[in-house]
Parts: sequence; C-alpha cells; structure tokens
Amino acid sequence: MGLRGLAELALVDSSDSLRPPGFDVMMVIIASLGAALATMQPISEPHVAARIILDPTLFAATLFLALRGSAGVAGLIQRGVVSVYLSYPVSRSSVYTAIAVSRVLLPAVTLLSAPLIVAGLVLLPVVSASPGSYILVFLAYLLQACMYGSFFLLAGLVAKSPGTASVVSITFYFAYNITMLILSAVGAAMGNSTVSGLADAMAFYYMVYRSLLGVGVEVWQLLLVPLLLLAMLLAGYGYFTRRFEPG
Amino acid sequence: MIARLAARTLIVVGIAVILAGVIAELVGAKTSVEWEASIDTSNIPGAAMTVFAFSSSGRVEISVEGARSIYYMTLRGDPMIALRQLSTINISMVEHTLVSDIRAGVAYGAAGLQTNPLLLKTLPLLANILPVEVTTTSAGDVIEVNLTGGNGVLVVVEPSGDKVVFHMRYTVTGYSRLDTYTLTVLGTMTSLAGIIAYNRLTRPRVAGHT
Repeated sequence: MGLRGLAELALVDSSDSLRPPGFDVMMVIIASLGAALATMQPISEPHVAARIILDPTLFAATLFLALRGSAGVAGLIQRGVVSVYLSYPVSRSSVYTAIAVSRVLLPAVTLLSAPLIVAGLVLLPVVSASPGSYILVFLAYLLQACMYGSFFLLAGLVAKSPGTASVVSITFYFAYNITMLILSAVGAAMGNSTVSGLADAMAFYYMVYRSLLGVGVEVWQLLLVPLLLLAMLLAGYGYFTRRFEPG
Repeated sequence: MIARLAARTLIVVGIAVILAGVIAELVGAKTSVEWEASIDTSNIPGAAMTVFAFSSSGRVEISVEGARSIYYMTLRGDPMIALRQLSTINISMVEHTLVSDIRAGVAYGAAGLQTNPLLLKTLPLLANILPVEVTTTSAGDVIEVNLTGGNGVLVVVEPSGDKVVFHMRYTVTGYSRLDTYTLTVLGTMTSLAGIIAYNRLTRPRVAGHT
C-alpha cells in the first residue's frame, strides 16, 4: 500500500490544490507573461532566457503556493479533510509526503514549467543549442520555490487557520526577500564580500545562473537554500508525524 | 488527474504560443541599436560609458570624440557592481543618463566622472583592485567588444577638451526564433490537442455504452 497509497492520496489532494479555474487562470497569466518576455527581447542564450522568464514567474508561483499550500492546508484541517486522510491505511509520513507533493511540488513544477515550455517553443533555435543549461536554471528556480513552499506548508499545519497561515506565509516571503536586499546593501556599503555573498546565496537560482555565466561561486553559497529546504521539510515532517493533532 | 492537468497545460501553452506570435508582430525584438551621448567635461576630469547586454548577445562598437586617453574594461555580471566599486575609490558619477532598451536586450548609459584627475591616470591599476581586465586604447580608436548575456563593458575617458561624445552601435548576434506563422499554427494545434484530450478525459461514461 505504501507508495501506491501515497500516490493515490497525492492525486486526491491535488484535485483540490490544482482545481480549475483559479489554477488555470494563473497558468494562462504566467504563460502569457513568458510569451511576451520571450518575444520582446532578442534572447540568444538558453540560461539567460530561462532566468528572464522565471524571475517574475517565481513571484507569482510563490504567492500561489502561499494560498494553496499554506491557507489551503489549514482549510483542509478546519474542514476535517486531513482527519479523513489520516484514516486511510497509510502512515503519517505518507500523508505528509502526499500533501507536500500535491501542495508544493506539483503546483511549483506546473506553474514554473508552463512559461518555460512556451519560451522554449518560441526560442526553439536558441534553446535547442543547450537545453541542459535551460533545464538547470529551471531546476534552480524550482528548488527555491519548493523552499518557500515547504515553509508555507509548515505554517499551514501549525496555524490551522487559513487567515493566519496566509499572513505568516506572505510575511515570511517578504521578510526573506527584504533580508536579502538589506544584506546586499550592507555588504556593498561596508565593502564586505561575505555579507554580499550571503545575500546572493539566499537566491539559489542566482547562484546557479552566475555559475553558468562563469562568475565564481563558492560551495557554501550553493548549499544554503538546499539546506534550508531540507530543514523545513524535516521540520514539517517531524511536526506532522509526532505532534500534529487534526483538532 | 495527471492526464487532465497535462491536457489543461497544453491548452494554456497553446494560447500563450499564439499570443507570442501576436506580440512578436506588434513589439518584436530589435537586432540593432545606435546611440550617441555628449558629456560636458569643462568642470569634470572624466567621462564614462557603459553597455550591458542583459538578455541578448551581440557586438558593441563605441567610438569616442574628445578623448586624451581611453580605458575600457569588460565586466561579467552586473556592471552596477563595478560602478559601486568605483565609488569606493572616490570616483563618483554626475549627470548620468541610463537607457534600458528591452527590445534590443541591452542597457547603456553615459556619465561624467567626478574625482581627483590624478586618480583617472592611475585607472589601469584598477586591474589590481577590481576583478576586471583594463585595456588602454588610443584616442580615436573604435572599441569593439563581443558581449554575451549578462556581460557588459565600461569605457572610461580622460577628456582632451570641454566635451566628450560617445557613439555606440550594438548589433545582436545569435538570436533566432520561430516565425509568426509557425507559432500561430503550433499554438492552434497545441490548444486543439489539449481541448480534445481534456474533453475525452472528462466525458461522462454512460453505463452499458460501448
């Protein structure tokens, strides 16, 4: 039952998290933005194309994750749906994994890949020259989105109230980005490369992009966001499997 | 569920590809741009021009009038970082103009430089301070640099008179996209495929119907 049960539960939950028309409208907007950005500029390198298209997409995808991944999960708890999930013959870890897949991974993959597919078709002669770097930048943005999403999921599970979960999630997102800006400004003002490097490292996609440009990136800068993602997933997993009560 | 999501994604991608064709016809990319800027250097010891290819790759040609000596440096990443580093050694910008031409995928600008005149003469030593390669060229030379996406060039001029004039020509290289007709056909086919697939997947199954 293990993996099959997990997959079935993820599919059941994703019918709520990806339900039309909200998700479809968001996809149309994001894909259209990708289409506009890909055709208005003479982009001649795959990794540059991916960055230009995914920069605004990440913001939109993150807000969507805050609504469906955080407030959505809190709503499920309030409506007793999570209690129903827990009554299935699957372990708590499977339920948590299924929710993480349907509320974080699947929406992030779909929302980030839709404009990328559009841009890939429009710029086919450019992207086909080096599809690897195009996909690599996509994976970097996906990892950053999943890092935000895994925190949102944790906030939803702990808060159990859609309103509180939304506020906490959006506050976290803005606090994270403002911290990045402040560290960058402080680093530049002080001429301190470690502080500037820390600000850069908070944007994993930027680190991957810079390394594709040939600009030097240190190993710890590439590890920061993946470690944050791991820490948040483990915190959510630990909370859900040990302390979580559906109420 | 996954098949339905794939069908919905196909519809969305198709619509966006058709839209891409329309946008390309209305406000498509430009493959060359020319610009000229004049800096009054009667009260300042230097002038600078920067060209930064933020989304395109291309060849930039910069010619300078009214220069005694010219230094230029190619920069990887954001040229604003190098400009900020210039400010840390007491070279600041005055009367700057910055143009961001999204349709050519390039940003360019010129500025007067306020600093100690002796400092400009030591600019070639910047190679030891900034992680860039500084090249010295004769006045009247045309500077030609190949830029790739995310790279830029910064030209610093020590003036010979009261005015420095920069002429810049940027030509995009390596850019290619599907033509509008192909995009329209591709988008329509993709949308139709998505609609047909979604229709089949959501069609109610009638009991006993074979």
